[in-house]
Amino acid sequence: MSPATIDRLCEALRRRPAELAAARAAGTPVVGYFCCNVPEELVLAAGLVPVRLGSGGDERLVELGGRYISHQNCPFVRQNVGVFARAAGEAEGVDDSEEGARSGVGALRSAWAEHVDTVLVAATCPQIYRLGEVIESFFGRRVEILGVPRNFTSDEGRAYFRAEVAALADRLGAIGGQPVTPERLTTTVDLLARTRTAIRRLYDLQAAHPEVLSWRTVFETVHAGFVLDRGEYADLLEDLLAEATALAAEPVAELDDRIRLFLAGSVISPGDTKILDLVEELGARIVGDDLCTGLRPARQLVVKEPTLDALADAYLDRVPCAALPHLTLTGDRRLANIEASYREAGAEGVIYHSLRYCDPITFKANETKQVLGNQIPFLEIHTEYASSDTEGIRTRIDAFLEMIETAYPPKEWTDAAHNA
Amino acid sequence: MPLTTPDRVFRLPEHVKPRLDASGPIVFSDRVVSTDEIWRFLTEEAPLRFPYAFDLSGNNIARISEDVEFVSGLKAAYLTLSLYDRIEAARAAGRPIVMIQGGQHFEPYFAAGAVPLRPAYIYVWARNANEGLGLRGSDVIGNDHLEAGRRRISVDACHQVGAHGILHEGVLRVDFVAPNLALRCSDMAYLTESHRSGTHGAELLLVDYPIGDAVDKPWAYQYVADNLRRLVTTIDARTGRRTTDDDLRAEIARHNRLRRLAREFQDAWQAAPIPPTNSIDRQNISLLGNEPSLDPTAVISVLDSAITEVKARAASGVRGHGLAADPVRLFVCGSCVTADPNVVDGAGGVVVGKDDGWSETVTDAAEDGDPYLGLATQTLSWPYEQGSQARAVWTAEQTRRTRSDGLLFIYQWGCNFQSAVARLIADSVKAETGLPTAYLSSSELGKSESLEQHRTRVEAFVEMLRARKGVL
Repeated sequence: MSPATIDRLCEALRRRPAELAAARAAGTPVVGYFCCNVPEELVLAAGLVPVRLGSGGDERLVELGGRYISHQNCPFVRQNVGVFARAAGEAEGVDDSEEGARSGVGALRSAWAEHVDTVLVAATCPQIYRLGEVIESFFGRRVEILGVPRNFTSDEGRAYFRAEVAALADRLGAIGGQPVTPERLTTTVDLLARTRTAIRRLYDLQAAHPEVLSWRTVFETVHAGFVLDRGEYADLLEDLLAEATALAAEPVAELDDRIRLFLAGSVISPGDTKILDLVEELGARIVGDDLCTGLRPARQLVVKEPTLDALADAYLDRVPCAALPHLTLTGDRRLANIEASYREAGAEGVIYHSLRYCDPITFKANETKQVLGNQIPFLEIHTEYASSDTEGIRTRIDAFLEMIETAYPPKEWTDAAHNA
Repeated sequence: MPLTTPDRVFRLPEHVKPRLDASGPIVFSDRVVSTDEIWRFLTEEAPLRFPYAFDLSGNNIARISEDVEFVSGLKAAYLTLSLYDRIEAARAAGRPIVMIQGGQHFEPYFAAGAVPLRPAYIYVWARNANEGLGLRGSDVIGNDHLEAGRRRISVDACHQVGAHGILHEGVLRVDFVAPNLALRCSDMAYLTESHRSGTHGAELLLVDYPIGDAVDKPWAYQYVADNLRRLVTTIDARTGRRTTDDDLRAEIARHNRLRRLAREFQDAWQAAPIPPTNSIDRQNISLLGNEPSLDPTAVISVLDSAITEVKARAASGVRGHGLAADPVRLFVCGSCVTADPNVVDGAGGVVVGKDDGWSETVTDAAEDGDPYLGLATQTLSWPYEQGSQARAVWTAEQTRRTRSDGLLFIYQWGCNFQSAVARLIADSVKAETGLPTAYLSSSELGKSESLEQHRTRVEAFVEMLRARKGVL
C-alpha cells in the first residue's frame, strides 16, 4: 500500500528540470546551495529559485571530482566537484551510462548543477567551503559564501551571523532584482514552517506505521523538497500527510517486528544508498535519523518573527551540524538531539555513519558512543562510496542486528508507547 | 666547512667558538645567556640529553644544521633544545600553559602572561621529557603519541592529533587548549572539541576566524576582536591578573619588531645572488618570525645576529654549506609541513621560501587604537588565510620575488583543508608565472621510517628543475 501522492511527487520531479529551464529563460536565476545552514527563506524572498545541491554514492563522480580536489577530501565533496566537472563537460573517460537509471522519488542523481546560475555555500563545514572555491576556480561558477560562526553559541557569534545574513540578503536581492522585504520574508517563513511541520509529522507517522510509509520513502520525499517548487512541495507534503494518516487508521494485518534502527552521522545524499540497501536486505528497518539530509533541518527551527535577525537566530539556535564545535558536553544540542530523536523513534540501535575524511563526524564517533552509553547499541560504519567494502559492512550490520536480537528483548511498537 | 664524523654524530669543532662569541649572547626577557653557556649546552649537555637531534642520518628531518659556522643557526638550535627546560621553568613559575596552533598570532597569550605552545612544541615537550633518546627512540615516542591520538580521535586526523593524544593520555598537562582557528586548518576546531570529554581538565576556547572574504565586512573584524578579548579575559580569570590594552599594545610592538627583523632576514637571504645558507638554516631562522619560542625577546636577539651574518655572507658571496654550485630555487607552499630541506639540498636545490610562516610575518599590527581590533585586522589580512584564488596570486608574487625556479605544494596526511586546493593553487601559479609546479602528499613527515616517497618525489622535481635550467 503506497500513498498515491508519491506518484504526484515523482511526476513533479520529472517536470522539474524543464521548469527550472523555463524559469531561467524568463529571467529568474536559480541559486544552488550547499548545506542546510543556508536560510532558504532568504533565497525565496529575493525572488530566486532555490535548489539544494549535493548527491552521493557515485564512485565515478568521486573519481572525476578527485581530479580537481584532493583524494583526502570526503567523498561527498569529491563527488559534487565531479558533478560540476561533468556539467562543465569535463567528464571525458567517466562512464556515465547508468545516470538516471533509477526511477521514482530516488531519481535525484541527475546533475541539478546544470540548472544553477549561482552557487551559495554556507561555510559550516570547511570542506564545503573548499568545494565552493574549487568549482568557482575550475568551472567558472559564481559562488557566494555565507559565513557561519564556529563560536555559534556566543554573543559575538550571533552578532557576526546576523550581519552575515543581512549582507547575504542584500546580495541575493541584487542577484534576483527583488529586495528582501518584511512582507516577502513573512510569506517565505510561513511557507517553510509548513514544510518543516509536515516533514516532522511524516517522520512520526513512518515510525509508527511502516505499513503505510517507510522511512526510506519519507527520506527520499525530503530530498524531493531540495529541488521542487517550494509552494507545490508544501502542498504535496500536506496531501501526503493527510493521505498517509487516513491509511494509518485502517487495521493492520500483520505487526512489523523488524529491528528498528536509527541512522546518525555524516550526510547521506540522494544516490548514496549503500547502508540503506543493506539494512533493508538484512531484514531491519530504519525508523529515524539525525541526518542533515533527513529530519534534522526540520527540527527545532523556529523563526520567531519575520526579520533578518530573527531568521539568523533561528538558524543558529537549531540543532547544529557537527562541523560547529561545542566545547562542553553539557548543552550540546547535537548530542541531545540524537538521543531524543532516537527515543522518539522507538529505535533499538544506532548506526553511526561516518564518511571517510568527514572529520566533524568521524572525530566524534568514540565520544558519541560514550555519551549514548551502554544502553543504546551503537555501530560505527566508516565508509566511502566505493562498493569494495559493501560485503564487510553487510557482515558488520548483520552481526549488529544479531547482537540486538540476542541482548535486547524485542519490544512491540504502539502509538501509546511512542506518545509516552 | 663540511663537517662529518665517522659515526655521523654531530660535534661542534672548537674553531667555531670564537665566531659564536663574536656574535654575542642571547638576550632573554629575564636574563642573558652567554655564548659560553650556549656552547656548553650544545657541546656537553644537549648531546647527552637529546642525542637524536645530533644524528646526521639522512632520514633525520629534524637534525641540526651541519653549517657550524653559521652560528645563528646554533643559537636557533639552542632555543629549540632548551625548550623543555624553559617550559618547565615557566610552569613552575605559575604561568598558564596554552596549547594553540601554529601559524597564528601570539601577542594575546604573552600579554596575559601565558605560555603559548603550538602542537609541534607539545611534541617536543613530551619527547624531551625522555632524555637520552636516539633517533630511533625519538621516533618510537613520537609514533606512540601519534597512535594514542588516532585511537582516541581518528586515524583520519592530521599528525597534530599526536599532540592532542599527549594531553588525552595525561603525558602532559596544559591549562588551556585555546587556539586561533585561522583559515589554515579544519582539524583544529574538532581536535580542541575532543578535549571536552577528556579527563585532563584543560579549559577550552576557540578564537574563531570568519571563513570567506572579510574585505568590506567590518563585522568580521569585530567578531575576531571580540573573540580575542574573550581569550584574554578567560586567561585573566585563571591568573587573577588584569591584562590591559596597554599590555597588549606593548606585546604587539615587541612582535612587530620581531616580524620586521624576520622580514629583514628573509629579504637579505632571498636577495643574495648566492644562497647564503643551506635550506635548514634558512628555514629555522625564518620560522622565528612567527614562533617566539616562549620568549620573543630572545628570538629578536637571535634574529639580530642572523641578519648580521646573512648580510655578511651575501656581501662576500658565501654559499650555504652543502648546496650545489648552482642550486635550483624552490618555493614551497601548502600545509604547515615543508619539503625535507636535506633532501632538497642533496638533490641540487635550495628552499628559498615557504608560504606558511612568511604569511604571518609580512604585516604588522597597529600599535595604537584598539589592540584587539588591530590584531584582528592584521590576522584577517594574512595572505595564507585568504580565499584560495587570492592566496594563489600572492604565492605567484612570492615565487617572482624569490626568483624561484619552481613551486611545490605539499600537504600531509589528514590535511584535507589544504590538500583541497593543492591543484587549484599549483595550477594558478603555473598559469601566472610559467613556472613548473607540483603538488604532493607527504605521509608521516618527520618520522624516519617513511621518507622514501617524499624523497623520491622531491628529488625528481628538483632534478627536473635542474634539467630545465640546464644545470643537471
